[in-house]
Amino acid sequence: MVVLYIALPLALLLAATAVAAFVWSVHNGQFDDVDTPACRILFDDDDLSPPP
Amino acid sequence: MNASPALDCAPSTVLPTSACSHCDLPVPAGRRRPDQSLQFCCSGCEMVYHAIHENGLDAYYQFRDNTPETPPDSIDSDFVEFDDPHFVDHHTEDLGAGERGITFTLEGVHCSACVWLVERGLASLPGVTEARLNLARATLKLRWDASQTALSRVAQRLARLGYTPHVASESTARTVRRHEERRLLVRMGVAGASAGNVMLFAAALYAGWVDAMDPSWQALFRWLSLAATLPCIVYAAQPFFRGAWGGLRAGVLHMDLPIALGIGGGFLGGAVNTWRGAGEIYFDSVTVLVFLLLLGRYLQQRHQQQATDRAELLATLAPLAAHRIDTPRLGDAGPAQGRRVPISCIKPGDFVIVGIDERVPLDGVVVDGHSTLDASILTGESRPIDIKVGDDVWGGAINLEHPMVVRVTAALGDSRIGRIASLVDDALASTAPVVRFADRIAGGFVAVVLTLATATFIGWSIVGGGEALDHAVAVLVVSCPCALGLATPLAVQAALGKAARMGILIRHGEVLERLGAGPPPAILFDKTGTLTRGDMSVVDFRGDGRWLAHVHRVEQGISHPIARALRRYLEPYSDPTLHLESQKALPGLGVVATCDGHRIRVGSPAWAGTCTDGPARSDSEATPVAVSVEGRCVGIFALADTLKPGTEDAVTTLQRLGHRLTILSGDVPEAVRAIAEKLSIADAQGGLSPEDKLTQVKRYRENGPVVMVGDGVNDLAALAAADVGIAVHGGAETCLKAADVFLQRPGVESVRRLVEGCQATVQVIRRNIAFSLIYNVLGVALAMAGWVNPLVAALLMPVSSFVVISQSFLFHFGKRS
Repeated sequence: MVVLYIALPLALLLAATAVAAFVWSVHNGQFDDVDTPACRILFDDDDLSPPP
Repeated sequence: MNASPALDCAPSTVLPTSACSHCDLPVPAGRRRPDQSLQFCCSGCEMVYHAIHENGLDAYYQFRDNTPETPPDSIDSDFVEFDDPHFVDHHTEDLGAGERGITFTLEGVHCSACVWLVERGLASLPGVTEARLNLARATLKLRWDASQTALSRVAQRLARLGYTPHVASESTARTVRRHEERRLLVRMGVAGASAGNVMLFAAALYAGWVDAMDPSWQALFRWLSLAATLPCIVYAAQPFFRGAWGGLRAGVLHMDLPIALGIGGGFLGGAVNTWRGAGEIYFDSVTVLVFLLLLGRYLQQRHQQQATDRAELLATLAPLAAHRIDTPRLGDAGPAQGRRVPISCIKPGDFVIVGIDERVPLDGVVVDGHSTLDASILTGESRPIDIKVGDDVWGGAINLEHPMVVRVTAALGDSRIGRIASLVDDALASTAPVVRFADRIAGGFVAVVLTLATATFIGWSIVGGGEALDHAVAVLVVSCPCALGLATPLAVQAALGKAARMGILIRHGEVLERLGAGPPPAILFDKTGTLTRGDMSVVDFRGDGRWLAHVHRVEQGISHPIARALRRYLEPYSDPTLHLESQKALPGLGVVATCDGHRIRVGSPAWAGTCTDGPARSDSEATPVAVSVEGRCVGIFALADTLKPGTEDAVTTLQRLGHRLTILSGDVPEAVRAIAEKLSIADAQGGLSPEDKLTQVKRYRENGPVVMVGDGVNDLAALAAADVGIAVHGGAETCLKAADVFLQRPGVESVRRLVEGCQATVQVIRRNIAFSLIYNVLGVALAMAGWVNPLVAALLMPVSSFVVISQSFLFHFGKRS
């Protein structure tokens, strides 16, 4: 059980890293539009047409 | 499309109804091509359909789940002004390496197929590196390399696909709002991470009650819980502490105060106990409280933002560019002889040429040309105004018949519209915000909770046992009005979402309480464009039906409202094969042409030819239009501004619900009286200027809350001054700034739905508040009795929140009749 003295702070550190990543992605504008990406999952990638 | 007229003759050919291959609306007889598989209801749809196919984007039709609105009329603009260096500097940003960025607002965006169409349609243009459409706000973020593709080409592609682009004004206010929203989201994320970790530690501690845990491990978990709670209290919960402190200093008590009390009390009590090494800790309840409250706020703010953006999305009333010319004379080339410049470059004294069906860009004086003007959006007058050299024209009015040259007298900010806008700002500043019910009871709430907590502490101290602090803290934590704090915002936010899906865009939640609580407010209606179509329509015809196809052919290509009304009415009888020559439109008189070998005149009865039959309707508000063949009168049309469909039923329902209705109009009093009689509305005034309407609204407000429904610039100040201003579909876009509600679907029916929806919402809010108060009373009673430990508190709170949340989302906004 002594391992908990290492494991628990490590877990908290991991959580802190996740929060830091979250903060970065918010300020990068990735959460500004959360509705439209839901439509994009249905689109195929090979629908591009030759230019007119 | 109007129903077919009651006539004694039948249309010459009867074809099976077919639907437009693009928008599914029925195709009128005149446009049907029986030998082709593709049918279109209008040239707009035809153009969009071909644009989609040329670019290989046919999958659009598989993706879409909504039929589109008919495409806008003005698709033939070439957007050359987007390449103007002044425009590029002002509206685009430099992203380095030759790339530039711009944000457009698009018309006509309605479903996920539009996302696909726009993004794919632009991706095939060389140099476009990013094109991302935001569906909720209808904004397009574009990054492109100007050396490979001109911005005008991008705009043309968008317009051809049916999404006319407008420049999105990224005001400082919007940037500030966006940053605020992001900060709130970050706080919520931190609170969530904190809550999650604290709950894990708490689970370990709960297990320790069942099977005793070694005190050193307990201490470890308690200290780690405290550490994990710190970011939440210090950073995430800041808005509540600051709000409470600010409220205390200003002497205004609102909901942040009991929230701050619960959070702060719970944290401090837990911190003290952790340091002591004995007693209960409540970190798990506290962090979850913060998370839920922040979630409520974030959702509320996001919905508010979306409604505001949608309302601001349409173009301004003045066009973005105008045709400037150097010599104040009309040539033969029409608007093409002018150079297109952005409107901000035009100064007083410049000459501009205004083409047919174009809006006058700025206030000015006519120096060449003779035409008629549709100023209904400014004055409410539904009849076109005759304009000759020397007359004043107002920016925003539509030029109907003939190109004219105007000398500009006022720059963009000084026009009549600008002055009305300042009236609007003044009026907006004077309307006081509604005080929320929850905020009103906040003061009493705090007093009661503090008293009870103190009583608990004293009581348990007397009893002894060292649990006094724990029970007092439990009272504070359980009383924290999470459900109460969520009750109003959640219901409001759910209502806004439901209303938006019905095409009713509400800009802020206060509208719900203003319309739904208290006695039914008085409703003031504008007439032209709100109750009526705003455009002339044929209401009756008497005469020989054989000439109807000829009348339609003779009126082809004329943009006068009477011609448009006749064409609309006669669409089922149209026959494009009729031969037409020497067509001439004479302002003020009518149209004369030789059609199918006959000399036909359509116009005022005095000019077209004396008719033996009297006019079809002798009311003064109907305009008679006579048809004569070789000088012999064969029929008379009666034209008037007709009510929008559904208006009568909606008005009756509103009267039945107890609202006092009034009509305020800029149109002539006879026309206003006629409409008022048809709708059984006793109180109606005509001939009002925008300033007059404002005065009237203020007068009615003395008797109670007032709702104003309007569409044009002549309603702006009145809309802003009313307690709730409703801007109607198809109206002036500047209305959207002054109005609290924007109706996307035509008809007064939406007003009825809005009113009923607001009442339903207020009922839900009251139920939510009642429930949360009951929960609080029960919880505090249990805490005082000493039966609440952290586990019980942690269970009670989500249950109450869950009930409030589900109540808020399951109600019906607006009964379906």
